[in-house]
Amino acid sequence: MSEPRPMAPLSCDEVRELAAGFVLGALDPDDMARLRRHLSICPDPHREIAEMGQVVPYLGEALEPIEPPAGLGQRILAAVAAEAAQTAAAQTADGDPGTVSGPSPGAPRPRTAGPSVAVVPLATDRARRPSRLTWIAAIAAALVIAALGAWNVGLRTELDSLRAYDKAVERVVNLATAAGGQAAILRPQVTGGPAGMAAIGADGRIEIALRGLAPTSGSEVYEAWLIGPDKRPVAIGSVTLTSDGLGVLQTTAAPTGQGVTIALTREPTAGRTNPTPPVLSVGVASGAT
Amino acid sequence: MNQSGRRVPGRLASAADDADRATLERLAAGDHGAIEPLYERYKSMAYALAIRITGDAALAEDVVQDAFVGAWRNVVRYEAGRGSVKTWLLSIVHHRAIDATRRRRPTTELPDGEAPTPPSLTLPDVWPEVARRLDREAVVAALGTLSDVQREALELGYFGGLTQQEIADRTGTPLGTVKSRMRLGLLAMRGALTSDEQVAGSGGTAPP
Repeated sequence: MSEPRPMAPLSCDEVRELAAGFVLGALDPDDMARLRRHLSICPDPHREIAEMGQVVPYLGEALEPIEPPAGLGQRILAAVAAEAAQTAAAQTADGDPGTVSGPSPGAPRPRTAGPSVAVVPLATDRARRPSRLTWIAAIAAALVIAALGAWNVGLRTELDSLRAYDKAVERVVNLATAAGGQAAILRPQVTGGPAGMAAIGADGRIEIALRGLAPTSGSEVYEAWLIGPDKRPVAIGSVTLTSDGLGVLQTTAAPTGQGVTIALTREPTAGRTNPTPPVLSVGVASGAT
Repeated sequence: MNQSGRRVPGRLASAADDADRATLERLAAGDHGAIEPLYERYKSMAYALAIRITGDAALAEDVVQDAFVGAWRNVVRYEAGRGSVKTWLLSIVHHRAIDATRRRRPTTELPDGEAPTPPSLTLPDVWPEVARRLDREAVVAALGTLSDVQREALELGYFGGLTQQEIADRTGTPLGTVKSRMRLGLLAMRGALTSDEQVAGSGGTAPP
């Protein structure tokens, strides 16, 4: 009553009172955060949260289905195909006699540098009688819910980050397809390494979009290097990281000829003049003519 | 277990989910055309949800497009342990629709940083058996066991993206009442969904 205590801990009773609002996402952000914190440390499984949370998706499934306008499916297909084609085009542009070794043939799947879809069968034998949840199952469910809460918070940041990435991809494509532009697909050189696309404009402008960047710590940066015919790497800038492993770089270098290599390393600090091994990703630029 | 002579909706639902996961694997492997069967399967649920939340057909189309393209782009993020493909997809639609609606409503007091979207995307593995035999009629019947005010509170939260406080303000109801309506509503719905008689809709279990 006296003064705001934004993160005052909640009691278990308060959590039970807020549970429904929590699973519906209908709490104010402070309560949301306090409740999550409580769940992360409370020995009580708070099974009421799991139980109510399971019901929530069905609010949507009760709706009468509505057929969307006929054109929508085509637009979605077109949007997906266009984006896939952009990636493929950049890949083709990079299909160069490898001055720098890429991954083995058959491996170039730039969209899927991340883990593949995990298909894990849902366990069915644990809760044969759903009305009799064991406390273990309830704990597991509460943890899932808590994790999901965190995931949802992350989702919005992730969307913003994706938009930034999308814009960068668009810039790469525009630059690469402009007169005199070159494109390079940056392929991971280490397991799970970053992948991306780069474009070099006739005027020396460079646009890079990367994904699969592990978080950096301290002053670490991802540094991009341009390697010309003289084989000397020239630092061209540090990648700006967004929240979920995506990164963009806009920079300008001296105009280059065809076939320069773009490489990515992780450096302890920005401004280094020599790359620190290992090279994480690499690609060779070539004109799309 | 295998009652081969009988129609077992649960098995059908499970087969559908297996097919969905196979589709996602195709997408992840670079077969972007696989977005089509996924869209065909869930377009009308997705569109209905988007319309219900945004109340705007044009915006709902954008939301659905955004959601499916986003799902394609992020297909490697799908984790089977978190629930069915359908629930995952619809949660993306739900999230983007709420997001789109809030953006249109600049007076909202919800800060941008936090996304109070509900954990509407999960079927934790404690009740797959229930979940698999649920069809839309069962869900409608379960909703029917709620009182009008309970249903209203849930809908304003889930479809309206409103907080309990906002719901209290909008409906002129004390905050504590809104809280208990939501709570009792969810519990009643769960009770109805998990009761063996839910198909008959006999219910009668609605708390006041």
